[in-house]
Amino acid sequence: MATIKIKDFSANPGARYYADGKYSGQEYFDKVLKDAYQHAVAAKEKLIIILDGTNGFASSFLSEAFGLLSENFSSKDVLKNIELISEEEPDWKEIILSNYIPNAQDRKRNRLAS
Amino acid sequence: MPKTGKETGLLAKLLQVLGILILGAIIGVVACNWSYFKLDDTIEVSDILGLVVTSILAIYISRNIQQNISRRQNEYVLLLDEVKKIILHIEKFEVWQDNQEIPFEDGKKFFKKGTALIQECSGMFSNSNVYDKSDFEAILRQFNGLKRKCLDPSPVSGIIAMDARLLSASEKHYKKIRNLLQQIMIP
Repeated sequence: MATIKIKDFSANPGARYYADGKYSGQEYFDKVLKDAYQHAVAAKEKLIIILDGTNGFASSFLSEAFGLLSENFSSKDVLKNIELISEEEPDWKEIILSNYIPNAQDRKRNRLAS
Repeated sequence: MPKTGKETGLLAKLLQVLGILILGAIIGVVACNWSYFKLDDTIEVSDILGLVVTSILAIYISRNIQQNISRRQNEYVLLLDEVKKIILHIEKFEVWQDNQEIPFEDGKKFFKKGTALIQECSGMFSNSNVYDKSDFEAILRQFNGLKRKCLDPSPVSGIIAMDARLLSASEKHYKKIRNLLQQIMIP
């Protein structure tokens, strides 16, 4: 199983977009999450993502990073192929799995419409 | 030789005890002589057994009650300490509400620490007979709701501006958290 830790990207993850500053959710998806996910799927492994060890998250960071993952690879596949670990703030794990990933397509549609 | 205050006090106590004994003896004699009830000269073994069992039960029950009371008191003192820690921490949010802005980095740390404090408190009282775990879960739910709302807008120059909608939503969550914490503190 492949494992990645968000703290290796940054101990201080930023907000949603590149325009919001350093270490955004968009940047995390482009530079880390997308490749790690593709490698794990190619190797027929589950991708374990560890959320612990940072100085906290903004919901915008997680919503963007995992939303983009779901938009690009379908929410059904993403939910099947990833495992989240979050001991410090377990509510993030819950909201990513129950909202940010499943609702990513709606989010995309809303974004395109506006 | 003049007596010291301590010796005088002891003597007074001794006299008091002697007085009570003498009074008891007199009442006993009078009660025996004019007692309505007949007093037996012998004591049955079953009576002694009954007395012993009753005494043991009385001691056991009173000790048990005392232990329960002191356990509740200890838990309450511990709870007060933990809840005060949470209140002290979340009060920082009021400053941000007043200023209508949240410093992005401080905000993330604030919510992470808040989550840890509430979780710690919830874990500490998970086996409690006095406090319900669901009380802390309700607080955590409200706190997480506040966190998600406050940390969703994009920061500008490291600051999240709180518009009227965010202020009103955060106010609701914050008030609920304060109320729940205060309710828990009522014994």
